[in-house]
Parts: sequence; structure tokens; C-alpha cells
Amino acid sequence: MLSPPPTLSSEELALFNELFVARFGLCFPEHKNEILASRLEPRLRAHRLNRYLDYYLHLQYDFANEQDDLIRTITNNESYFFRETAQFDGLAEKAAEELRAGGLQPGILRMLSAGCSAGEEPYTLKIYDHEGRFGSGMPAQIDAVDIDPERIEMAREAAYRSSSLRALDSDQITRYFDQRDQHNMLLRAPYRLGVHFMRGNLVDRSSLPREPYDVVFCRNVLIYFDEAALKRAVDNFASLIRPGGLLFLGHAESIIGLTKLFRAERHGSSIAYRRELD
Amino acid sequence: MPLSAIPHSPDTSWEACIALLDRLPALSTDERIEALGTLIRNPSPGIRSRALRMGAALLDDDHILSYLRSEADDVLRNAGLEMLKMRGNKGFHLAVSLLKDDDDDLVLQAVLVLTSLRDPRALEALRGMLHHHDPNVVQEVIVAIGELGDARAIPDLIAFLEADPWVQMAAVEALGNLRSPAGVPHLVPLLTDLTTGELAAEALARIGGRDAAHALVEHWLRFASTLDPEPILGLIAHVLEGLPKPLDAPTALVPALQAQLADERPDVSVSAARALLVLGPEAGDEAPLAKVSEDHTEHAVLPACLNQRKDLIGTLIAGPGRQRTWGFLLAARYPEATPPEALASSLDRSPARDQLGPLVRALEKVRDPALAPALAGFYLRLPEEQRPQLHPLLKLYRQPLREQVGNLDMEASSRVTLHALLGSPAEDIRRDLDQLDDEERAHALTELVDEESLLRPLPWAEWLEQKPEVYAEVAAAFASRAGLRELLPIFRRLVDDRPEPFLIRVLGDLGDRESVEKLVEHLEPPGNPLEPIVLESLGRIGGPDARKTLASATAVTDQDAGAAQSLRARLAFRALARCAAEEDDSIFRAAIGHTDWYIRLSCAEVLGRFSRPENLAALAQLASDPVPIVAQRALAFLES
Ligand SMILES: C[S@@+](CC[C@H](N)C(=O)[O-])C[C@H]1O[C@@H](n2cnc3c(N)ncnc32)[C@H](O)[C@@H]1O
Repeated sequence: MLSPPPTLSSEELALFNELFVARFGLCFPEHKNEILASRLEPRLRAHRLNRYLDYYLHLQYDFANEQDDLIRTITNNESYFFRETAQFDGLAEKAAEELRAGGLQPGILRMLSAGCSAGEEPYTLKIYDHEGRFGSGMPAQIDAVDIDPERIEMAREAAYRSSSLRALDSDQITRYFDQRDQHNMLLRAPYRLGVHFMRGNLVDRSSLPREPYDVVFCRNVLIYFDEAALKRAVDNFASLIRPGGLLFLGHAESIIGLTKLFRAERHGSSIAYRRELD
Repeated sequence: MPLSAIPHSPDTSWEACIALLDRLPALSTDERIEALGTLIRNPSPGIRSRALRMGAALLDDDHILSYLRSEADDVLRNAGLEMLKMRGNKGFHLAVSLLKDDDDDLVLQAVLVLTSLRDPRALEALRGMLHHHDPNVVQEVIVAIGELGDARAIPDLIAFLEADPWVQMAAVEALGNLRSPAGVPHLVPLLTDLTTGELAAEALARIGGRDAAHALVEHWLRFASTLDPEPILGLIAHVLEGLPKPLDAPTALVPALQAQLADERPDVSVSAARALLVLGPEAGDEAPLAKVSEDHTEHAVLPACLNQRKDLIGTLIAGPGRQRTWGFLLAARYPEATPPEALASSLDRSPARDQLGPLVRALEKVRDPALAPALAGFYLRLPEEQRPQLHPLLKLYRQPLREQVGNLDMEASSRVTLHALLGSPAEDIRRDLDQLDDEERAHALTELVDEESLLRPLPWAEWLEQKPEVYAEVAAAFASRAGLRELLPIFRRLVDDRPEPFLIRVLGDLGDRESVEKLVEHLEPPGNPLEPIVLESLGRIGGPDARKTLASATAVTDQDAGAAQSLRARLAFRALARCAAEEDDSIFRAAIGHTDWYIRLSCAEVLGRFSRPENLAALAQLASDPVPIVAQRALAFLES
């Protein structure tokens, strides 16, 4: 007889959430209970455990060694090139010149993609920049962080499957990519080189880059955060973005009411948050 | 403590409120009520909803009434309203009695509560209010009647379609909410009405069905040049998706929708795409499909516009990302319409993590023997820890797979595992296992660990004695599942040499009281990394000795102790809760104000188990805990 897959009780869910929020910001609401259960199941198997609580205890016992597998298991990495481009367009049309002029190193636009997955978002920024859409002059500095080390590796490799290219037409695909093998397209060098990837955790300031940015994109990351973690992340953004700089979030995400350090403003059809002057 | 002694802080900032919520469990009922006044003023939805839930559990009717009557303070009044709604059934009678109040505003609030409770018992009381002197009340009453969804109320409502605009709008909305086709003919003439047109369209969409669909489509096609497509297209898509069969739509519809695909507002283009997909293949699928898959954020749910598109299964399965998931979901729904080659080739292109579940469901339903080779190949490529997710499938495809196994190249351990899962005679499997080397055998056993009857007769003791370093972990896992107590002496010995988590766990799972003393040693020195697992095992073992140790481990003198100590306390509480005897309940009573929610949860558990009066009082306190899971657990006990 096969034992049925273990179920994740609401108590266990709350325990995992407490841990995930503290470490990574992530939180699984009650209706995602089954998704979390099925994602964690292989980790239980890997440790020959048959109860979720035992996996929680295992995490207390040896978090350091389990951390990377856990992150890979629980994060949603869905991303694609040219996703929700209205914000990039808004930046290109309205704000880029002004930000470029007023930055720490006038003339250079510094951007960070926070929660960059396998690089689809920062590389899209790079393509925009390469095509001169963020204004003329020096190339922008584009950095990118993600908490998942495996994604960072993939980003550095810059080889993509069709689902990452789903919003591109065939012209764009031939312009930006070369066929690498049967399943993968390799992003061409001009759009790839010069984007810096590093591991970083949005709720841990010390793991994030020091320098102040003119623009931070953090899209489709904070939807998975609980409110307290969101607040921590936003405080970190406040120290990552120079006064007058901009923060762009995904269209389902908002930080209104959480902080006085940013002010919402409209950019074309999207919202951006402007870092207030201290 | 007198009320004035609580540091009353008018500070409603996010930080202050979070700090207050953390302090709350230690506060008395009166203090909690006072704190509520602060918390409900915070704009954060997370904080506010916790405060309201607490209030709903904490406040009596009179108190909620005083909130509702505080005319000058909208926040309080709203909070009162929300709390009353949250009380569900318990709020019903209060709300009905308030319908007769002299204060029109309170009457209005009562109607709002009834609207949200949707209790059918309210219908008669509400109908009696339709001629109330205050038009605001009448308007809400109409809406409330709509929410009750009882079509017998239609004649009541129709009378108001001719009234002044406010009331008329309410009647339109209510007709929509009643969701009865009988409402359709009354709404159609209003589509062109300047004030109620949009509402009437929404109401028609809610009612749904063919007549409503035709009315909306015709209305849009007729006034396309002047109508904003944003709301109406969304409604049309919604109604079309709800029809059991595609609409025989006017020929002008498809081109009109196609023209909207290029609209830059996603709401418009995606609605057009959804509508086109529902209308069927003649409308062309490629562009709308691309639109819809760009938009959808929830991966594992099939968009309603594809519900009936079994003709698209092959295309979807071959498509990128979520389209593939949708293909699997559709295949599970229409197995007979699924081209097996599509599934086979998708197995060859290993699906992504979250697609495994939908894929398994599709294969369960399709069950075409021709899929066996692809399935076997896929299984062998999966990482070992994911393979068990396919076990049920292997059993379903047993027959055709058996024919495959011989021809496939695989490791010896996988071959034995596959044979076992495919139901070869137990004798043969045991013989094959015997022929594997130790490492391979341990691999095979690990994957078969749930196959209790097959594995039980195996020479576990012998293996364990000879090669503990290879077999201990899998033997422990199997012994836990199968209750193999005869291995206990060996496990006890092994744990002396190497106190590994899995050994400590199996001693707990097998309830081995003899090893309590041994386990306790591993609680030292404080902060020993094994501590969490030892405490849990002690809780599983139970009995006087384990309880004594656990009780002393619950005592952390300083609540601001370091993380390790707090962890120790919380796990000790939880373990003790598992095996507590009645005389332990005082430990839990004393801890209901602890800062750790998990400890308070253990308290709720134990105090609910031993229901003496003092425990019930403590449970009542926990029932208004700021952490929902604690409050719910306490309430569940109180209510039973
Ligand atoms: C859904 S993807 C979004 C990718 C991209 N920004 C986009 O919009 O397409 C979310 C990413 O956020 C990352 N992430 C989640 N929590 C994080 C954290 N605490 N710090 C940094 N990255 C995180 C995940 O690993 C994942 O790659």
C-alpha cells in the first residue's frame, strides 16, 4: 500500500510562514497550502521524512545546508523578456533623462533589478539601454540581485527557453538571440555583457549592494511577501535609492500607507514611487 | 491593572501598532478593548483585520452597539459594522432587532450587516423595510434583498425600476444579484439609459445565459463607436465563458473583437482575446492565446475561456510555459480528445516543477498504453526524490510498462524498484534485492519505503548490524512507518555512537520509553543543534520521565532570552502539549500571555483537552488572540 502524501496542517503552514517571512520575506496564504505542500514534498523525500513538522525541525537543525534547496523550492521564478513594458516605456519617455542628470554620477543611469529571476528583466533593461531608449550618452549601469543562487547562475549563462521569450515577436527573437541548441536561445553579447548579477536578499540590507541607485525595479516579488517583510524591504529600498530616484513595483503591488519615504506618482499608464528628499 | 496604567498610545503608526499587537496577549480583557481603539485606526489592512477579528470575539453586543452609535467617529462606526459582520450567526439577531431602531443611520448599518450575512431568514424582515421613510435605507434594503438571491423577490424589485435614480440603480444591481433569467427582459431596455446603462450591463452579465449574452453583444455592436470597450468587453467575455455551448453570435462579432486585440489597455485586449477563444477555432486562436497567456498570473488554474476548447489540447501541450500547464489540465478533463503523441512528446521535454501535478493528472485520465515508453523514460530522468510523485501513475500503467522495463537501459537499483512498483511477485523482488550491492540496495529500499508489506520480511536487523553506515537511515525511515519495534535495541546502540537526527526521530516515532534518559543527554549543552529533534521525540514518547524533562525545558525565565532559548521553550511546550497529562495544565494556563504565538497555540490545545472551569476562562482569553490560528483553535474548543 502506498501511504498517501502527507498533508500540511494550518499549524505547520503558520510555522513555515514564520520562518520564510523572517528569512526571505515570503509568505504562503492559506489558499496556497497545497502548492506549498507539493513543493516541499521532494525535500521531505530527500531527507526521508514523512511529516512536514519534521522538515521544520530539520530546518532548525541544519538551516545552512538546506537553505539553497529550500529557496529553490519555494520561490516563484516566473519571468520573461519584455514583461509589462509600460513601466520601461514610462521610464524611457519621461524620467530617464532627468534621473541621469541628477544622479550621483551625472550622466550615468544606475539601475537595479531586485528579484531578477534568471535575468529576463535586467536584460530587457539592457536592451532598452542599448537601443538608446533611456537617452543618449554613457551606457546605464545595470545590476541585478536574486535570492536564488541557481537563478543567478542561469542569468549569467543567459540561455533561455521559449517560455522566457513568449512576449517577443520573431523579429525581436532573431535580433537579440542566437540559437544555442535545440531548446535554448542565447542572448547576444551586446545585450548580455555588462549586466552584473549577484546574490542578495531583499529583507537583509547587508546582503544588498551599497551604492545608491537612480532606479530600482522590483516587480512581481513583493506579492509573495507578508506585510511586515514588505515593510522591511521598502525600508531597504529607501536606503538603496537616492533621494529623487524611482522605485517601480509590479502592477499588483503597492506600498501606499507603509512608508513616508516614498511618494507615488504616475508615469504614463503606470505608477512609480519617488524617493523623498531626506 | 487599572485602565489608566496601560501606556495608552494614540500613536497609530505601523511600528507602534505592531508593537502593541505583540504585547496584546499579555493584556487583560479591558486593556485589549482599549488597545482596539488604537489598532483599528491603522490604515494597514493586515493590522486592521486582525484588530477587527479580535474585536468580534471580544466585545459584547452593547459594546459593538456603542461603536455603531458613535456618530462623530466614522472609524469606530465602520469597525463596529465590520465586527458585527464577522460575528456571523451571532450578529444576525442583533442586526434584525436594529432594523426597528429610531436612529436611521443605525438602521442603515443593520441592513449592511444583513447584506453581508446573506442569511435567508432575513428576507421577510427586509421586505418589510422596502417602504422605510429614509431613501438611503430603502436603497440598501433593495441591495440586501438582491444579495439573498431569492428570485421570489423579483416583483418587489421591479416596482423600483421606475423610481428615482438612486433607488433605481439599487434595483438594477439587486436584479443582477438574484441571477434569475426572469430579470433579463426588465434590464435590457435600461442598457441605453444614461444613468443605469452600465449597471444594467453588469447586472445582465451576472445573470448570464444566452439571452443576456445576445443582449450585451448586440448592444456593443450597435454602439461600438461611442461605447468605451473596457467595461463592456469584460462583461461579454465573462458571459460567453459561462455558456454551456458557444453562442451563435452575429457575424460582425468576430472581426469587431479582433480589432480590439491591438488595444493597448490590457483589460480590453485580454477581454477580446478571451471572448474570441470561447467563440471557437473559426475565430483564429494564435493571437488571442498569446494575449491570454501573457496576462494570466495564476499558473495552475485553467482560464475559463479555454474550458471547452478540447480542440486546443495538442497546441497547448506543445506551447510554452503556462499554456502547457493548461494543456495538461484540459487533457485531464477531456482524456478522449487528447492526442497521446502530444503527451508523449511533452514527457520527453521534461516539464517544469509545478507542471508535474497537472501532468500526472492528465496521464491518469488518458491512460493510453502507447505512453508507456515515454513515461518510463521520464521517470528515470527525474531526480530520485521526485520519483515517488509518479508512483501512482506507474501502477496505473503497470501492464504496458512491464513490457518496457526489459528493453530499457537503467541502473540495477532502478530496475528492481520499477519491478516492485509494477507488481512483480514479492519473492522475486526480494531475490533481486538480495543480488544488489549494499549501496544499490539502500537506494532501492529508499524509494520503496512506503511498500510496507513488501519490505517488512526483509533482513533489516542483519543489514543494520553489518553495515549500519549504509542502512541506518533507510531502516529508520522504514521502521517509523511500519512500527518495527524489534529494531529498537540496534537503534539504541547506534544512537550512542552517532546521535544522528534520524535515529533520534525513530526512537520517538516508536515511542521508546527506555531511551528517554539517553535522549535527555543530547539536550546539553544548551543550544545543542539536536535539541529541536530531541524535544519532539520526547513528546512522542511521553510518560512521566519525558514529561518531567519537557516541563523543565518550557521554563525560560527571561522572555527576552536569546533565539536558541526561545526556540527551546516553544518546542518544549509543543512537545509537552502532545503528551500532557491533566496535572500539566497549570503550566499551560500560566503561559497564555506568552509572547510566542506557537506557545499560546499549544496552550489552546491542552486547555481545550482538559476542560475545567479555570481552563475555560483561559481559553476565553485565547479566543481573542491577535494571531488568528490561536484564536480559532481556542474558539473551536469553546464552541464544542
Ligand atoms: C516571479 S519572479 C519575478 C522576476 C522579475 N522581476 C519579473 O517581474 O519578471 C520573483 C523572483 O524574486 C526572487 N525573490 C524572492 N524573494 C526574494 C528575496 N527575499 N530577495 C531577493 N529575491 C527574492 C525569486 O527568487 C524570483 O526569482
